[in-house]
Amino acid sequence: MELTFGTICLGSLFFLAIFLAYVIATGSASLRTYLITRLFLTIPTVWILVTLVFIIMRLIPGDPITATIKPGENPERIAELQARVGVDKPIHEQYINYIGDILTGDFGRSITVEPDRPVIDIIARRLPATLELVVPAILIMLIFGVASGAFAAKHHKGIADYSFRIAGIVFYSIPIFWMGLMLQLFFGVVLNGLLPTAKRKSGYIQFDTHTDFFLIDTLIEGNFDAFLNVVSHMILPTITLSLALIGVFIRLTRSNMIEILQEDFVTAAHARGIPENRVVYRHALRNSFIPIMTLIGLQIAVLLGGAVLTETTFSWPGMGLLLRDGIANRDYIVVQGGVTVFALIVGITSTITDIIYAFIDPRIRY
Amino acid sequence: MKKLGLLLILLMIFSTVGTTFAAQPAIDTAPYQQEGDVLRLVIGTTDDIAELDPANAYSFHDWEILRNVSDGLLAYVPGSTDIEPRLAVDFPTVSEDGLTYTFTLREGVLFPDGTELTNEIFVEWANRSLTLQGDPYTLISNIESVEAGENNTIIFTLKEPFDLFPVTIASQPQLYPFQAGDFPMDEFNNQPAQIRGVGPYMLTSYTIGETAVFERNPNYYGEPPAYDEVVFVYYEDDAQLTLAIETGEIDMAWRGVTETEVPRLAEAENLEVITLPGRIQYFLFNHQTDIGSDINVRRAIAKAIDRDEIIDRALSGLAQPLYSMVPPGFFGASESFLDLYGFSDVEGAIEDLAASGYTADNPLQLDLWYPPERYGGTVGDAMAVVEQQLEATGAIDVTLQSAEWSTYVVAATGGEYPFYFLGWFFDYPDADNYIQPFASCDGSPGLGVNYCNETMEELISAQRALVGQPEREEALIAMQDFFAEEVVGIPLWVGQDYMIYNSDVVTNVIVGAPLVLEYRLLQPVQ
Amino acid sequence: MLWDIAISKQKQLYQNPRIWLAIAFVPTAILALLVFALDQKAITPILQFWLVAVILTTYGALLSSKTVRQARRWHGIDWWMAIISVTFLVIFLIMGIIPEYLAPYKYNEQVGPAFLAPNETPPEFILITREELPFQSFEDIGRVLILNEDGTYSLGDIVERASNANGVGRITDDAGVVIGQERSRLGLENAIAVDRTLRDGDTPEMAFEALLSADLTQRRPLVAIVGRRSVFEPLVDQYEGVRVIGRIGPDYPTPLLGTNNLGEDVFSRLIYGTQTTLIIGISSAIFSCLLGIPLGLISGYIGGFLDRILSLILDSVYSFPGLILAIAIAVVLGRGILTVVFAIAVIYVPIYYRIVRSQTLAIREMSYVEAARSLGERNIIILFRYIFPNVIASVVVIFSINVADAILTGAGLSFLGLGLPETTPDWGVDLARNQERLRSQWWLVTFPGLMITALVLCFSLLGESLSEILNPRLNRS
Repeated sequence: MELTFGTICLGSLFFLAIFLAYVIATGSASLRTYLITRLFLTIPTVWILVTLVFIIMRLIPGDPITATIKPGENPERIAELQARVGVDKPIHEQYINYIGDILTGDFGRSITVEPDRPVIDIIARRLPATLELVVPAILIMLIFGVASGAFAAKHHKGIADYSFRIAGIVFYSIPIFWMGLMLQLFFGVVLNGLLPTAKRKSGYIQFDTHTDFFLIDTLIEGNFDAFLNVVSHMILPTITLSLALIGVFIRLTRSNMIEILQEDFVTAAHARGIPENRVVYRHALRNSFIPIMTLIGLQIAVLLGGAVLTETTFSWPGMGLLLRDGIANRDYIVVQGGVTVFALIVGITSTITDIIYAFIDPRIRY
Repeated sequence: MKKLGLLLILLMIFSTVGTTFAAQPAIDTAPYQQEGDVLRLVIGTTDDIAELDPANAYSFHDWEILRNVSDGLLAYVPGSTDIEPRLAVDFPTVSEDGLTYTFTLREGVLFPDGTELTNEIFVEWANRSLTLQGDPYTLISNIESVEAGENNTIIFTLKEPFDLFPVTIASQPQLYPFQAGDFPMDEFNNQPAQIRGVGPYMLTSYTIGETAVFERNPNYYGEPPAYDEVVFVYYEDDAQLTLAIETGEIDMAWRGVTETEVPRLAEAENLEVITLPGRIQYFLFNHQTDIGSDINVRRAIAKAIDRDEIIDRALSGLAQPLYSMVPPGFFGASESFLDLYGFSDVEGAIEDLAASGYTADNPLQLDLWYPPERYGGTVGDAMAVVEQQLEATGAIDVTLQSAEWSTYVVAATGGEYPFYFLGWFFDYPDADNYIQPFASCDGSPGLGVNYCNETMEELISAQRALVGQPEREEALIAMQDFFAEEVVGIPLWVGQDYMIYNSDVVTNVIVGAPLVLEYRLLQPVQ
Repeated sequence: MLWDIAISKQKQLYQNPRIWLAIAFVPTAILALLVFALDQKAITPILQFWLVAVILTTYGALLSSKTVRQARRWHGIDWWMAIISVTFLVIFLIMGIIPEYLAPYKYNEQVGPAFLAPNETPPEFILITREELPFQSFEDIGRVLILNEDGTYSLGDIVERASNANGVGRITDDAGVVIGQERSRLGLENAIAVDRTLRDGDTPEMAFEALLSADLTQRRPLVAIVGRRSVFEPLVDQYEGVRVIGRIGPDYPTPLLGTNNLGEDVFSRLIYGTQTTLIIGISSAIFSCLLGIPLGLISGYIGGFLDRILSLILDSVYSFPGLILAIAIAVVLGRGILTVVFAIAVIYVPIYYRIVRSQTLAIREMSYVEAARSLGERNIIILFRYIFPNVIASVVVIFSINVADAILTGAGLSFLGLGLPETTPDWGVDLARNQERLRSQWWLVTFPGLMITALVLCFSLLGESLSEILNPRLNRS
């Protein structure tokens, strides 16, 4: 079977299903009820968002046709085009059609952003770009955020504590796009093109795409130069995105660690003569990992929002740019498709984190 | 554990720094952008692919792609607005009534798959556009029929005589032939997998918002182009494109470079800048409203506006003042507004306003409509300057009104605004295309102008009848003078487009007023 | 987001009458929103008063509340952080409330040439003409040059121009005597129209040569050149037949942080921008409070089906990328401050809702609420007298983080070209308008970005340090 973005999605869904089955099979009865309710709650969440966006898009003045016409187009032709994409129908009819289409897995065809192309194709290409930006950003945040948070907690009320916290707040306070511009200025101009400042790869690098995850594609092709080129393009955008939210991770790890370090089992460990570092970084850090997991679930939405700005600043052709263009050009179909996918991602992520949370932490009972 | 953590952090730092420097050589390979045996040229732009179906494509960049992928019977001579025969052996023969144009098709033109282009194939593709009637159909709606004649000829029959017809042929990719199977013959396909025609290149793959890859057509009838591949990279905004051409990430930046950066880029040793006339910007009146039908008001506004000040203050000096709808550089362009109303004549404007009863005590209430995003952020600044200039007469009270484009364009062209701002880019590069759509009885209602004047109609047909003759210049000037005298609309400025290329990498870059870039002419620097 | 964690650890509070002070901002907020709705352009004294009132009541209530008094142990750097950020906030607030007294110029006033770098002295210009020409001042250049029969030149004016079809005017000399007629296309018979300015002379020398070699019988010949004094003055002596008319243009001051493309003072725009940014940040946060708190109270107190539905809807909105929602709403509503305020407010409603609801759920079960209920107090009284005051304190803590986030979102909207009209003095708008000038005119991008960062930093530092100070669990160590 060929490796494509579709097969990757199917594969991960498959593993997810196995994991769920395992959890349901081994978990207690109450856990089982909770999990099933939680899974079913994802559906109304997605439905509410999709409906909300449907309403908002219809409230926006103008439609896909009038948003893109040139001056001087005659009215009959406008009406004809509107009929062709179906925006002349009554709103409730459009809504019923739309929900019906989603249920059958048909996201429709783009009207103005990439005319006539199936939205599912567009998303299958744009989503990997966004994920290739967001996932490394999460990893950077996780590694550096947790490390510095734990370090700060160990030196509670010391210089390290305050400097890490303040650094986190300062990074949080810098507008993402401004940070991006400044990094471009620094690496593109001051360091004279040390790092590429836009796009996912250079124009003269060509390779066949299978999954649209360029990192994976270049490795499949065995094109190492291209791989390095893709990595070098990723550095600035991921750093920009992760810096904005790293403070949240520092803060959470720190406050959790401080609490845990005051708990009895830590004192006991100290009393038994276990070395300080081992207590902090092994016993305590492990125990504070659960809330961090949940935080990732919550931060996904914020990260996706930040991705819109990062993608704009770095010409990164992902979902954020797609949604922005879709809204600007009134491409209802693209916006609805994109929002549905976002809602699904957010829904699935928070469900998974909740399930892991419930599964791992024996104290939680439902 | 502590050591492990430290090691991990160090590893992260080193790997980041390492990849940064490891990636460095990949960027520095720029001089010939050569990978293996493939010679590539990378062009960056802020345009994007919209609709690629020849019968439906109606944007600058889509047309450029089609022009490089296929060819027309006639085409522009590279770098000029003159036309030359391409797929046709010679210029057409015209019947006496001016309704029938007969072209003879060139022999031995092959598609990439080896089929030969016959007049029947050509007619089939032309008829496809005529039946499907896509967005740009209005430009060829004058064609009654296209038929294949004897001896490999193609016969166009028009509904009405139109002396500019050869120019239409040269500017319309709607009438180009393509390889069978790339587009369905009975419906649109705006997103074909690939496009192949009889042109020098084939569009083999593209991703909107990312790249488009052109490969050389092995069967091209002309001299084979120098580059094996031409790659387009689509940037989101001007600043990124500018940075890319400067750091050598791309070889050419074609339209969309930040204007204020151009003087600085021009100083760079390895960069060459070609400046080209861009879109014209102007005010229009709806002549069926109180304000638009009052000649004194129209003249007063024309007099009160100071184009130089607008350009200096709002546009950073990066535009040319426009004193006729026809931009300088076009055959027959005049400076009628300058001759009639001067650079700025506030006193005259006050007198004209007084003639219509508008004074400081009873000022004219003028809503000035403009679209804030469509023509770039500087338009808002420009409108603020215009507001100051008009209010300097003391007898006009301006209210700036803006609406988002989709609302704006419908309302403006539907005649809802008495006084509004628009931009125009020609459909065919001729002075006629800058006056007729605004001032003729047929054309003006479509733009919300609603102007109809017998003298103007006569002047328009007079210059059309003289196409190709030197006397046409005077006829064109007379038409523009009348336009200025009547103040049908008020031309403001003409923008600039830029082609910037790395002269260490590529040479023989030829572009002219029609803004057609033919990739086949580009040559690598040896 | 920061408040998720901040609030979960709030100590339960008992009734505190002073907290009612905080409620005072409700009518003022409504008043302010009315003002917006009536006239989006004007920033009125009422609004200035309102800003002061809101800030003072909110923070006054917070600082005088029992919570703070209980927590008034010295926490070292956290207190310092709070004090420093409050100090800077006060500075920002003063800037936002009375910008017209602090800014040297009005935000849309042209104070000098465009693109002056910070602290760059504006160039002085001199006007140079040919010796034989009779111009005495810059204004004279616009007049008609008349070639007298003896070969000298004098100046005249065009009268009665453009009233007739060909735009032919009659020309009078200084005494007002009509001496000839203007010819429309081919130039003037005995008078010469003149060009006002010289565009882009390539080098100063070329300008001098062009001036000296200009054919005055042509239409619009070159009769004078305007040049930087530092460049042109030393050259005047090298050319014969030229003379300096004088310096031109008003005396420009040296702008502290440079000027933008319209010649406006960047420093003044920054100060005026504080106002817009504060209004957007604070009023959208208040708007969110006004919607989120009652919903949370009712939902948590009543519970049942209503609670479930509300939770589901607001949690859905909460889980969705806020910026994208704000973009869509901003497009629906068109441009204007009110649009931005509303678009941002909507995405923060769920945050207040979640916190207030969870606290209400807990407080509802407290014995004093039970007692009040058994005494037969009406539900509305219980909600607003017994529960609300205990909730408001935690709301106030996250309020400042919300303001910080709202400012960032507002700037993001402006950056994407949505929301505020371009003429508004706002940091986000200035950033968006000038982002492509990053290379040549760095000061246009750097300073607004720094201002946003500084203001957001103040609010988030305050929120961070307050939540640390008020967090009872961290006090033990």
